[in-house]
Amino acid sequence: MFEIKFFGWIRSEIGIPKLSMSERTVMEALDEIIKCYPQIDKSQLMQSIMFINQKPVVGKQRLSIKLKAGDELAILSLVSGG
Amino acid sequence: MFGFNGKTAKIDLTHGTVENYPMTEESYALYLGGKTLAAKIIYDTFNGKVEALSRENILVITTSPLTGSTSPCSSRFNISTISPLTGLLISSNCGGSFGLHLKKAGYDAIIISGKSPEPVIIDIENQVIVVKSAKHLWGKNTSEAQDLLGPKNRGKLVIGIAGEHLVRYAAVISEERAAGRGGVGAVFGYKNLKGIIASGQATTEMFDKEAFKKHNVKWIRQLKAHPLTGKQLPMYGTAGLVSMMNYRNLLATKNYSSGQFDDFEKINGETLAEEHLVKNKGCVTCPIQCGRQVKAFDKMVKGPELETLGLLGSNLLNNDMESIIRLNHLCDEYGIDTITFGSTIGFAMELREKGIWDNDLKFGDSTSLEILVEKTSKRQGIGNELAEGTKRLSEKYGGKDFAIHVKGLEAAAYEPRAAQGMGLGYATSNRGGCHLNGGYLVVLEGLGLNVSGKTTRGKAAYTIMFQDMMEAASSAGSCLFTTYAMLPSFLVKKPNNTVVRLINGAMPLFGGLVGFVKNKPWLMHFNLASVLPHPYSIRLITGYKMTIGRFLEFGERGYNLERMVNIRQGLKGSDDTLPKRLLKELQRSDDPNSIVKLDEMLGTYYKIRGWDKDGIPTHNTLKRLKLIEDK
Repeated sequence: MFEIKFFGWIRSEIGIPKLSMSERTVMEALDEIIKCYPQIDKSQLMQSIMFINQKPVVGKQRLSIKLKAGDELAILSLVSGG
Repeated sequence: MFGFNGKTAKIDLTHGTVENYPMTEESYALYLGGKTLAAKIIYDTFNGKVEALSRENILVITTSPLTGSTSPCSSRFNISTISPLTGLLISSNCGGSFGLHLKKAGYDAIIISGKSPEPVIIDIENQVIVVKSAKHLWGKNTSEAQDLLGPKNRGKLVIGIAGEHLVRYAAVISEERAAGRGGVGAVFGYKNLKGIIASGQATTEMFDKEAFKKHNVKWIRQLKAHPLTGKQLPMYGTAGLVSMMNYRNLLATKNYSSGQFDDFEKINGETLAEEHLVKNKGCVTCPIQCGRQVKAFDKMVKGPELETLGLLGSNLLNNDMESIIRLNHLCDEYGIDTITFGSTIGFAMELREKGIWDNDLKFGDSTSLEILVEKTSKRQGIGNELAEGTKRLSEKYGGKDFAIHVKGLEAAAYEPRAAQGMGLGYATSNRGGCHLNGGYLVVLEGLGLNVSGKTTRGKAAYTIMFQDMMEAASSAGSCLFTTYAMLPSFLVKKPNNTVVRLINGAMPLFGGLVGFVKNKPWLMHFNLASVLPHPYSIRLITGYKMTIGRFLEFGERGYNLERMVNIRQGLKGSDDTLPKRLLKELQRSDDPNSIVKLDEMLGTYYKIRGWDKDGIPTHNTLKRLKLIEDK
């Protein structure tokens, strides 16, 4: 199992801080999230900032990365403040 | 004159006298208000260097043209003086409602000089100023002192016990808001000034009231529709930054030895919202409402902001949210700046860890921190040393390489080794280690936008543009958070979009163009009110022919004027630097580029600014900005 953590307004909309899944690609994980939490806007989820094991992942190729047991996928929205 | 009362009072506490300060219409037209107008007054008042804690030093409290106009986020006011922490000019900005009340009392600004022989408050009502005894308020915490100052419908600001004891980073508190940075509270304390109350019914004329009303509606709509000011900030406040900062290696941790905190999830905005938030709370006229009211230790209190979560949390390896909330509350009650307090303790902890200073402070141990707030505020025991701040501690005990301050002011919670522009901003900020006065380029470097924080390319020009824009927005009387709505929504909402990624990638390449345009404001002789509403608002309120170009020029004028005050106070170009830890120690051992490459940016910064190699504005620059006579 790997862990998905949510931060920012995505977390507020999905209503949970994290969930666990069995091994699969990032795209498959996002599809599963959309299936389980239909209140989430798919395009918003696809546009979120992602980190796998603390490293940023960008571009279309991030969607085909396979997440393995013990991995952490963090999903965040952009922020500001002071 | 539109947008101003046209009246400034000068209050001499030594003799208890009040007179009008002769502010010219030209001064309003060139310096607007806020920190820039205050810098002009301070520049004109002194001929040479002035000590912060002296009878000569003055406090200048300013409002702005937007104050009282009902513009969104326009209730802020400014306190400027010579800082007891840095010896340089400090401008400390504060929300709440005091600015609004001061302007309604009939004044654009007040100047406080001298030193009262006994504790006093200043009472301002409808252009009548009375200096009253405050003996009964001395020794009171800030909430009690404000309660004792009478009805809630008056504007109030007070110092706490820390200001009375001349703690070098004592704050001034107004309602629950703080003019926190640089020790303005200590200057109040030195002058035996416990606080100020203001109220009145004065109104100012507006140049085009009907157009202003329509513009205001659009501006508020823009702020509410933007993902940062309409969604993220109301939802999580500034605390919402913690998680992203941690992932981006930007969260000051263990006295800036790292940008990531293992326990960040225990102190982030999400945890604050889910476990403690009772309601949002903001300043009057603010549609963003970034303030938090939280419940902790069976009380409802103000929630900590990002800086407090960073400096009293990750920077001390303190993962206890309740402890941070309580520390935040105590710091406000005693009236001390949470940033400098947290940073100074972090430095003291590392001194102990390295065997340099034998004290009881340990990273990760928050048990002794609460009593330290009181000890520091009263200058008791170790608190007397902590009350001096990081720079002076390092001069006494050593450890200058990891004493995280710039020009004497402790840096904010943004670790700059992962954000080159933020590093340059800290190094060149007129206030010292201030993220906002430094230009807050980190908002582009991975927080609000996705521009690479690693590259130095173009960062000098963008830093200058943002510094000038922030300076102008602040002088106009607007909360700096309103400037985030300038970032195009689609760039914030769709960071993975191919076009957006191309734009983020290309932005550093356009630094040269930004630098070129900076010195030619006539190239921006227009308004784009739907993007940057501030210049058009100023125009409608004051009648000044304000454009984006002129707005940025106002900011540039203010930035250079503040620099000139600092140079007179002894500032040198060599002070535009960062602690060795940030310049030489790798933040991450696997990344040889994880240092601030200041040398790659500073020369370009000086050049674009129109400063010589020693960081002094050239004659031509001062002439262009009308800071010296055109002979």
